[in-house]
Amino acid sequence: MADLFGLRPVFRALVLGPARRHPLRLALPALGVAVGVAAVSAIQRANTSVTDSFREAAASLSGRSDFVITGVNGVPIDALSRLAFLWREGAFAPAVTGWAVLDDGSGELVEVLGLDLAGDSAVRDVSLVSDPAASRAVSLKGNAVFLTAGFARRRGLSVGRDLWLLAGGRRHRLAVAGLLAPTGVARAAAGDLLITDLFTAQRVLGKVGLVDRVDVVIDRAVSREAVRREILERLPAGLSIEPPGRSAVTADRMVRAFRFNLNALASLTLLVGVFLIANAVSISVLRRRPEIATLRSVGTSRVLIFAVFLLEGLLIGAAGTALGEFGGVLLSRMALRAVSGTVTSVYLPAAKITDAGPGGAALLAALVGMLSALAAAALPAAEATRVEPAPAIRPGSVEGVRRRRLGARGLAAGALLALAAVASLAPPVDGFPLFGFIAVVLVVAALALVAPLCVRAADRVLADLLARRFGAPGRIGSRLFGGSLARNGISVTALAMALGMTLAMIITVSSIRETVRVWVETTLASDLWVKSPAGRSSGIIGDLPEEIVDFLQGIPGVEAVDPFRARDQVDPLGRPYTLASGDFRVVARIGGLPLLDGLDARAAAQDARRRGEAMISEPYARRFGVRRGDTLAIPTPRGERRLRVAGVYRDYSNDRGTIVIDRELYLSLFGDRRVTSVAVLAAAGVDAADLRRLIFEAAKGRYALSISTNRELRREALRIFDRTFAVTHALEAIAVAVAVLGIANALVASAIERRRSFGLLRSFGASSRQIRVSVLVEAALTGLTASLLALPAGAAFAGLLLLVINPQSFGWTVVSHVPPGRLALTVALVLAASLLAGLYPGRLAAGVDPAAALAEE
Amino acid sequence: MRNAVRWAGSAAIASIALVSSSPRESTAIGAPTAPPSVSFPRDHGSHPDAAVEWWYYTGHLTDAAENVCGFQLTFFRVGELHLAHLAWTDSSAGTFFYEEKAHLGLPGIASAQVGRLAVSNEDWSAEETGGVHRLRAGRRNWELRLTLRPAKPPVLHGSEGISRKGSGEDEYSHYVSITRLEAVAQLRQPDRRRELTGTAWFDHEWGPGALPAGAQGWDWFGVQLSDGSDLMLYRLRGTDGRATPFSAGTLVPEKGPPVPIRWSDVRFSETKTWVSPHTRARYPAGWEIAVPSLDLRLAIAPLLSDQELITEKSTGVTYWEGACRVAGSRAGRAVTGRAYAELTGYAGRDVPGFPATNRVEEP
Repeated sequence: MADLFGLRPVFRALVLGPARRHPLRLALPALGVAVGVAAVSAIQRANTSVTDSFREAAASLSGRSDFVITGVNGVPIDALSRLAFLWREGAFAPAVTGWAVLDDGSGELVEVLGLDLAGDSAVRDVSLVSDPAASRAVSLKGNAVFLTAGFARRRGLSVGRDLWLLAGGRRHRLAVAGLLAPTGVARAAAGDLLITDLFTAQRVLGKVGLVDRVDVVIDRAVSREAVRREILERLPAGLSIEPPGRSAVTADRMVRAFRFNLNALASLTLLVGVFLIANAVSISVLRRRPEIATLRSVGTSRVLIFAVFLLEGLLIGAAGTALGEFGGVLLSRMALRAVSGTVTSVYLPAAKITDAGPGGAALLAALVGMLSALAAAALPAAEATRVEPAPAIRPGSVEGVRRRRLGARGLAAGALLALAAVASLAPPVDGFPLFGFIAVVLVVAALALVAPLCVRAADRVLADLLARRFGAPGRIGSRLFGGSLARNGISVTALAMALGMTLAMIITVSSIRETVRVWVETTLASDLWVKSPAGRSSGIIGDLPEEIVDFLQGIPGVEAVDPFRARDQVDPLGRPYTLASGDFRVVARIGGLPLLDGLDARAAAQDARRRGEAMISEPYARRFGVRRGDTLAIPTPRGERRLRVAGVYRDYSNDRGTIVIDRELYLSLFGDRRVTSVAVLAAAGVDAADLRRLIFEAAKGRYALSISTNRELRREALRIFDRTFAVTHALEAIAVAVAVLGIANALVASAIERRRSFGLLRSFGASSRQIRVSVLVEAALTGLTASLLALPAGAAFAGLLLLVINPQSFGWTVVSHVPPGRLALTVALVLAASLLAGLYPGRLAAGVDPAAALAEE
Repeated sequence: MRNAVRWAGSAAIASIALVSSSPRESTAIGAPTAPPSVSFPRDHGSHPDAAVEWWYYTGHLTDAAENVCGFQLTFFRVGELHLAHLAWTDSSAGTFFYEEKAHLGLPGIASAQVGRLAVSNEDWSAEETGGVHRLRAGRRNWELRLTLRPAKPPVLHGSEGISRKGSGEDEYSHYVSITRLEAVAQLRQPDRRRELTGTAWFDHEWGPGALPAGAQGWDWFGVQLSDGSDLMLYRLRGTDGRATPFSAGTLVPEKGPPVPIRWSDVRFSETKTWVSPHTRARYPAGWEIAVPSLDLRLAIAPLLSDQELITEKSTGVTYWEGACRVAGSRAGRAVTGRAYAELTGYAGRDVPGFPATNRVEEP
């Protein structure tokens, strides 16, 4: 049967007309979507910036190279002679890379890149923008560096000026010899780059005799694969050849779990918006029932009715998305700062992250926003098609239908929860807790199903109490609440979900924080930590020379010294981990390595040292599926070496996993004598702060060091932790704000819809105050029901976060810690906000002119 | 006097590549004190204490069809920086091309051994074993391999191998030549392989690398005559274009000790000029040189006008270095010969570099 009316007139009648009369009713759900889209867009943009920055850094460093040769210990310079055959097939160019701190008071990090500048042009491009004659004059004095013009401007440097650097535990003077255009390799590190000749870089970074990489460019006419094989044949053990983008992939893998989780959380924010759209469309359907019935009876098809309400949802979604994209741009700077702050403080201290621009992120957020709107509108739109073509039925009759389905809803909710429980048992997918997040979504769905049941239950339990306490307004309020199961069910779901997630995050974050705090206190047994200055970074920037160990040992008041060495490695599957070494004799003496299985660290360290065994961190054990007693294969400059795992220790310092071996074993395997940091134990009765002063004095003119006391390090650990979770908190607050808006929205809709009822009440003598109170009662009931529902939901979310998502993402065992005060405060805040949300709709309802409302009747 | 070019090399640097790797401030070895005891093959090898050093091969080759070709292959070391130039002149085809390389001294990339002659830059190399020099250089689809056998022992120029360039303490170099080597060459291209034979000239200089303050440029000649004698002669030009008193030469007879030549004994005139279409520089392009005390008169003319090298990727210096033909008389008898001439300081762009370098190098 052909439709009597087309989509346009029907849409105008059912959606546009009412929307024009009460734009606010649609504006609020649009706002809800907007907030979600803004969050998704901003977070995605920040995440894309991270990934793109890694890729850009790798690409600008690799230039035109076809392969990169790297080594377990870097590439020994003598190994280059084995590559001489390459000059017949192309070219190769060695590079020394590392990071240093500007010693101009800014503490800014710069990448130091040492090149065979004269012969590097086969691989990379550098272009000088300053006067070459001036460059020549400076260069003749040695230690010449080239910087990007932008960097020089920012730091107030010019050609001929000295530049002081802290690197490798020492202070170095370099001379600015020239300024570079921001092209080619100068784009690396977002332009915060010093380019110098290879030998100078080796001296500054303490890598004499080593280069970090060799880039190989192969003539177009030559078979890449043949050359690759020939290189492989000639390379000594411990060196490997890989595609040039590999370092970006590795860096990205390090932060992937963090990125994924952030994206997932941002998406949950949008879920709240989805409920708001569902709410708005379902209200719209309820209100238009008489018109739908009429249209149906004159031959309008179900498909058209469905399309009209779907379109309504889409329109709200589109408006919200557009607004959200705008908000996303505003939020993005904050998100970028937060995300890059975490990346640099937790994962890669020297990473330079620049804004990737809105492009892809905006597109993704738009897609997600529109799809969510579509999904949200689909259910109520389907509901609309069930309206029979009969004389107009009073609004609200659908509720009767729903009531009968409540039992089925309860069963379905139970089934979803069971499914969620099953999903929570599934292993991670490629390191990402996909099923954990699926379980979260299933719980949310169950929440949506069960919410109307709770609305009715709350109405039943509280109706009498409210009537007694508030009289007629109390009774009316509770009837308003319980009378619209569908609409209030959705509001309650949205708020319960947002609040539940917030409560869960509060529990999760405080559990992890408490776990880390206890861990830091039990493991940080030494008095001082010495490392190369890291400027503004809280991480490790560069190494210390080996002599530092003897130097520290020779200082009066030093009881023991534990040199620590840590370096990033990649396993054959491209999974990053940390290989570290420490003096197991010191561990055997003072402990400080909290072993799982209740093993005694002192005895275990002694045994591991004697037998040449390794300890692994808990994230390593989880990520790589290795247990105590298993055997690890470690690549060394002399080929692979197998080591037995003596124990697994708790570690919250990184999530990629760490292998620790005794320093003596490490030196024999790697011959790498440099030191990453040194833990110093003060002699009995020696004050740590005094000892630090003593060390600084002795180091004056020889070493440039950064020394932290035990207390400073603990504080720093927690500071980094808090900063890491700042984004999470922000996202949760957003979700709650949106949900509260949702309550206001539902109440506004209710006030508009019930104009006639309120008019009638007013004409029967109800005061406008009484009307206001009854709306406030409805608001309070919504908040209260949602809060009550949020408690079990929050517990379920917290369980999923702590027991599934967190261990699968980060590999940490977390002891749960519930902060009752903060939870109660959050619930109280939400309740207060719910009441506030009732103020405006209350005024709206109370302002109904009885005569006009009755005239409408 | 080849040194002039190399000095200029350390001075007139166009690319930042070069700039950043120039010799460090304290590399000058100062004035030569005791007479150096030069010994071979050790001193054909590298002298890392010297700020500037180079190994310089030129020669004329003839193929089966009597085509005459000229080659120049030079390895420079300026501090830690290694440079190399290759030039090829084909007189019958009238073509000339050159290639250049520049690298830090790194294994497998560029190096100069101490104790024996073994220098390399990428896949170019020069090596001496058992008195035989083996050279290899080329470019895409074009490779030259040379085997050079000395026909004469090494010659020490100046005073026991110390060649003064100016009155300053470090204005000198150690200068050694083998003025005549029998050359056998193999020219490899994808589709063909040519054998050529001829004679070559080898220069090796090392020193502190300082230039006389007022030097504008120089004209250097390495002449091989049909009577078996060879002549090395250079004119060091001051800013006024005239020869400075440090201009000098050496006549190496077929047999017997070399004879030093003072500039005051030389009659020198330019007979032609050539303007480079690439740089607009005006170079002399023909000479008449007479040394009456040796009864020597020579007319020298380039085989090809355009043998100009613009070495922006390596030394940054523009100079003319080319194969020449020679006719004249010695001791009353007509002689013919071959020569290589090197002309620097004519292309304006490298001249401003000298004073700057000198100022910087005076601590």
